[in-house]
Amino acid sequence: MKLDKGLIAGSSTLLVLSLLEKEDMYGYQMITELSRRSNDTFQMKEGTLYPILHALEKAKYLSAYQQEAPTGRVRKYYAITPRGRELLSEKKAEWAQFSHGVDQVLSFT
Amino acid sequence: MKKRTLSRKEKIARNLLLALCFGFVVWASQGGPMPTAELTFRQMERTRFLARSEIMCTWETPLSVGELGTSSARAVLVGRYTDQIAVGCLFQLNNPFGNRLTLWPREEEITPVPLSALLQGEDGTLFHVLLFLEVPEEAAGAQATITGRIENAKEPVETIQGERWADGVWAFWFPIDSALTTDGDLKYGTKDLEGLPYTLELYRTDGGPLTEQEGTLPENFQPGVIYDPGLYDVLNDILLNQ
Amino acid sequence: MGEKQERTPAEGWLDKATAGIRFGPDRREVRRELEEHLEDKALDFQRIFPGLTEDEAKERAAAEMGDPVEIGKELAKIHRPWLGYLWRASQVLLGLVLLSFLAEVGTLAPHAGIRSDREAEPGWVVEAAFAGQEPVRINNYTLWVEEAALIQGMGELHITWRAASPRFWEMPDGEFSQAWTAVDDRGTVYTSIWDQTWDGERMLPYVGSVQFTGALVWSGEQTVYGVPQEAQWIQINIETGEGTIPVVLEREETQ
Repeated sequence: MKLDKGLIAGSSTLLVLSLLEKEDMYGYQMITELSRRSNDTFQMKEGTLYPILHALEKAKYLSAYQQEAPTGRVRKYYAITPRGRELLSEKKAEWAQFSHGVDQVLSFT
Repeated sequence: MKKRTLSRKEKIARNLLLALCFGFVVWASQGGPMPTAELTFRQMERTRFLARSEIMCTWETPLSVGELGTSSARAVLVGRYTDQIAVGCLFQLNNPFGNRLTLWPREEEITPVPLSALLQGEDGTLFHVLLFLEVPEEAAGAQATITGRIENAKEPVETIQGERWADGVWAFWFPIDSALTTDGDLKYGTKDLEGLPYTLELYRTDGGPLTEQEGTLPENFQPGVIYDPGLYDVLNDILLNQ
Repeated sequence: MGEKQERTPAEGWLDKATAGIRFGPDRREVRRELEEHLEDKALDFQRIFPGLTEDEAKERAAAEMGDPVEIGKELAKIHRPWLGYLWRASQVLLGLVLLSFLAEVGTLAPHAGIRSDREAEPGWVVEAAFAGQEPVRINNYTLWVEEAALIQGMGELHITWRAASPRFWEMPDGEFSQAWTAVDDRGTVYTSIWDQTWDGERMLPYVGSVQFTGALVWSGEQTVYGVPQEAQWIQINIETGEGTIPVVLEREETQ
């Protein structure tokens, strides 16, 4: 059980992948969407998001393309790949295990 | 709108494959030039319908391509058959045409072979080069004397020390230098080295004499052909009396 | 453009954040993505604080994007230049090869057809035709006589050779005269040494060398001089260094 940067990085990947699970998005859109869904709990920083996006794209978990955004400008959109979906379910399982473990520890009184 | 494009790795592979294909076509259209002197020599054998000889000697100039003049050979190879010797003079490696190969009969005794190409020395001087083949291995030094190479030479008799190129193969470099002439204008006989009288002296390691040979330098001729004038007269009569 | 333009804080941020990405096209692409992000962020600030100018909004957005050096390090680790350089190299290589290819194709002479000497000299009359036998194989070349014609009154036998090889780029060498000698049914020996063909009065029996041309299947013209009018056969001998290979041409019956 390591509570360190690795875990944060790990959970960021999980967040990014699940954001893209149902819908393709571009970078800035992901940040606003993430804070919206979490009621402003998560304010992912650009310094965290873009390295993850690029790393996931390079590893073929995501694919990218240019498209016009609702704002009228063209943005780089990211889409999850089938490989990415596999990674997402892995990460979800990991997270379920982790949070279950935490719950167990917390409820142990 | 999604676009399926090639990944960078795929593009690299495609570029290299295309380069290979087009490169092959370019190479083939040039006659398939070979990268080394020996491979070029083998190619020369093939295209002249000659069998693969046993290469006894490969000499390559230490000069770079830029320093070498167009009239001098950059490599000389000597290949051995059962009864013959092939001597190849290469001018360019990347040009299969224009290199010269000559056949000489293989004798028991020491065989003189005038090179059909000039060679260039380090200071830019051009040389007529005379090879001697089948030189005994015991020879530690050799000296060749020829007469009459340059018509208007101050000294018509020239003696040059030889250098050993390989087992049994010695080379003698005769400089083409107008300083050797009486009037500064080089005048040759029509045949460079061919037909000149020569003397070859071989020495042992201790400096003592090993053996000596005299003769006339050969013209480049073809082995195995006997010209019979008698037969020809008959033929000629028939032709003329048609 | 000699004046040094002031970098806005936004541009400065973007420069620093992408400085670690060495391969040009990649760096430009990442920079553009971050620039777009910055624009969106600035627009949101302008929405929330209507008093801000565009420049002020961008400056604030840059400040809120985080440490550019830190993000630059992470991005540099991900966007390594080697594959980009390799790609560039492969493009350059292909470009050079294509240039050579075009230069080659541009200078290729038109495919030499098989034109025998006889077509060039319509006054010649064929005394007799000679036919070759089976093709011979030398050094993976397949070599055969397409046709041979003895010209009336000149004692010249004109031979058309054909050759093919799996090494289709290695055309046989035509100038190697030492390869060719010949003998005929009268025992006459034909030399190929040019210098021995003139004895001061007349042309001696002589086999010319073969000039090959063409591509894929090559053809070559050869002339044998001093062939008697009644010769029944002539044997061309090809020197291989380890003996000769004979090619017999037999006179065909005239109609």
